[in-house]
Amino acid sequence: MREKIMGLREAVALIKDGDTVAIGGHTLRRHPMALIHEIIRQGRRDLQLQGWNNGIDMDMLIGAGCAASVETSYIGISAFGLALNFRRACERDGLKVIEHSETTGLDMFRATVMGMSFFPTKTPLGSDLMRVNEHLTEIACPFTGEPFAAVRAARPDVAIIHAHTADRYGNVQLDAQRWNDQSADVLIAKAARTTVASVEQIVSDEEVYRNSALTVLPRKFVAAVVEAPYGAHPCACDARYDYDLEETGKYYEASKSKGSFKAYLDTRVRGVADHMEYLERIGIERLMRLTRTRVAR
Amino acid sequence: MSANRGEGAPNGVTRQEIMAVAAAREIRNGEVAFIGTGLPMVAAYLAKATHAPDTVLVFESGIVGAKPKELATGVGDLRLLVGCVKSTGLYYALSLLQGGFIDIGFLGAAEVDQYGNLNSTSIGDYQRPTVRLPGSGGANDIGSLAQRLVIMVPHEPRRLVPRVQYLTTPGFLDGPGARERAGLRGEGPTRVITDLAVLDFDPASKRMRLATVHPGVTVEAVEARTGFALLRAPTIGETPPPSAEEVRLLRERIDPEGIYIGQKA
Amino acid sequence: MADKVRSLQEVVASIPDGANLTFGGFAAYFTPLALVRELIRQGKRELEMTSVAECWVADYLAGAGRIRRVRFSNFMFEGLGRCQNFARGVERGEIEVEDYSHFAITSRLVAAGLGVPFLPIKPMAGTDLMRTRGFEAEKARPFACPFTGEPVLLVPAARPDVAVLHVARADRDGNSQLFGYTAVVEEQARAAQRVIVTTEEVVEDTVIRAQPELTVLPSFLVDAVVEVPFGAHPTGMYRYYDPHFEFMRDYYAASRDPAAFRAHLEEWVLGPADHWAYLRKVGLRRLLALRSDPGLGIARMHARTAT
Repeated sequence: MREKIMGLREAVALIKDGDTVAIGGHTLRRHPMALIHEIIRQGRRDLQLQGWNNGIDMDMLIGAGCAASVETSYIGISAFGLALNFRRACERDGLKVIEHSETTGLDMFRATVMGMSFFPTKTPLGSDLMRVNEHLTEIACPFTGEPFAAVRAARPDVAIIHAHTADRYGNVQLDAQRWNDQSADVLIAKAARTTVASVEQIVSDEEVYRNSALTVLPRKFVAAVVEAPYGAHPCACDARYDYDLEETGKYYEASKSKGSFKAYLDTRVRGVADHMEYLERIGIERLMRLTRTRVAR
Repeated sequence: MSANRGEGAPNGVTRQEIMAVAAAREIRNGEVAFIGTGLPMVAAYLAKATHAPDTVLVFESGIVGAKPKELATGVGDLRLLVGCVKSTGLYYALSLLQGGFIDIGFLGAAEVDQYGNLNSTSIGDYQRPTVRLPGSGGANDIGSLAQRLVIMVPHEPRRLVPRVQYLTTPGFLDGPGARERAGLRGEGPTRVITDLAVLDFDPASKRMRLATVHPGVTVEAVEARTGFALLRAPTIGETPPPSAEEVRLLRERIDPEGIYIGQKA
Repeated sequence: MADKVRSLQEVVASIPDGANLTFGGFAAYFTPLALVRELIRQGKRELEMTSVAECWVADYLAGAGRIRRVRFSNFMFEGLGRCQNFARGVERGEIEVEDYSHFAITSRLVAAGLGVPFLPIKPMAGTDLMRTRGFEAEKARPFACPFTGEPVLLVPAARPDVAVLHVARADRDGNSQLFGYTAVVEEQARAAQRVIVTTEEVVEDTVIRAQPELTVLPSFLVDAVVEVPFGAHPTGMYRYYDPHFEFMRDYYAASRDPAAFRAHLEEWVLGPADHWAYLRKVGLRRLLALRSDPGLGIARMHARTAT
């Protein structure tokens, strides 16, 4: 079996300027931040971002000048407020936005995973989403004549997700809590031509055999796995570690102007050699405090 | 380690390999064996991989029934935990000795004397030693209580001495009946395996005697490397050489890096 | 439920000079070295150890010149060699020793834990462990079984002032759990007058109660709990991290020479202000590389995966 372990640099090199890139995670939870930092360090441009519910991940890429368009249902910085880079880019720089509801934001990936060019749904009917989103159109059920919105299938060039564990062959696992093979990240990953998964830990073959039911992405769907402990920071990683509200607050303050945000990126992202150096700057004491449980389960 | 390689041994078999194989053959299938670091570990793995698959390995750290995949750096190595049947404490493991549950133990030492007593404590005066060694640890317990003891040492005059400078672990103490008088259990040392020969103990005098010499080694060479007058068994044969399969297991599976068995031929 | 969580500085300050200490840990594993480093930082001296195989504690304290006498059975760095600092201290007559077998010294702790003044044992008879004496007033006494006349040795109970034990996880009340083998932890805790637990993580008591079979110390044995992630470094912690062999090799090289070891102490023990500063100095890159694999309990890179 082919081994798929890569470093962050090598994995991010799979992404080309102009690619459609779908991002896993949910608002402030488990976004693939280590991968996103590396995309910024490598200076990718004109990316067409897709997701179902996003936050600091897309806002950071937008603020770093990596994005040409976004297609999602939400970009916000949780309790801190609006995503300011996103807002500025929309209001002043004409960032292209394709608006979804959470349901249609998932349905566009679900359609691809099911081998369909569209997926029928109800949620956007009667809203302005039908008007502004070119990937939604109204159809009638051929049997009953009932109206539906058809969501156009999305086929991203690359999906980037952050998961809990994987083996060296690219079998990706999520911890047992709440997650299963219908999780949003799984649909996003399966919809893409190329999937890059960062994980908290690359584990032994034995561990994957022992808990085979936790494998949400069998290796055929995964092009590269990258070990990035605390790879979602400052987002939470489910039961493993909590949000870093201190860092998110710092981010939010910095995002209030282009100048201060550039300074933030220079310190936190562009000015560090790699993910480990980033973590060292956050500091082991704070990371340990955010960690919910350290024992290898 | 490469210094010993192949000298006097056929087909490039190292003397450590001969020692490991000779020690492995001391283990009978189904026995409970108390294992220390180094060559005893190699020997025990080899026994399990060949004629004694049901041997139960016990380590003083509290690991029982280990089924290790690779060599450990010592008896506390966590690698021994992976796949063992019981993990417990040191007192439990050593209680198995006193309780009479351990069939065979293996020990090395800085010095061995003609009665099979061992020193692993100090060289020179006890209070101001020339060399302070690690101390008994479980060695005294194993020598005092295991049913049979196998001693493994490099064959050098400074190691095989008339009398140990500090008697850490009992062999036959000062001769016949001494173990019984002291209240010790088990038969005492049954074999001494060196890089030149296999030795045992004269049943009457309890003094060490030459049993077999390793291939290519002469009786005189062994005697010259021994720091006391070695008795001779009625017939001195040759130590059966390792089989091709034993050598393959040692080199490919058990100690592929040659940490304990020396460099590959 | 009592809250026994304290800071490292606080618990170490409570240990007087000259105290008789017993430490957890075995070979290169679960040794309470964060606390040992703080003992050295706070200048604790003239310490006495009642030990089984706490080689890393003994060698650190010996190298810093902080131990006066030691009753023990074996100090050896598996895979490296004999403990250089400790051996030098004994060879120079700076550390008094009294040698035991593992079973004998542990039996002394067991006797104290059982609340009996002595226990009969079988090993050590007939050897220099009985004949050649160190500082101990009474080490072991030959005795005939009153029922059968069988010869045994009586070893007296040993009651250290403080036991310092590093565990995997503990709740705030002190209920403590360990994964893997337990070495002498339970016997040491019951023997000592006072028990200080350092732990990788403080957890809710529901975590303890969900797996009671892992508990080595119920809370009533424990006087203080200190949370110190990577608190056994450079030794390893089953299900948390492997021993840091590279660091140990550097330590061992330094320990061959008193001046080099002094520099090691300055750099790694006296220099860093506290445990966090120490961990920062080791660096996350190296610490995270030691993490245990959940399926093996030890680091994946150190386990040969079945092929």
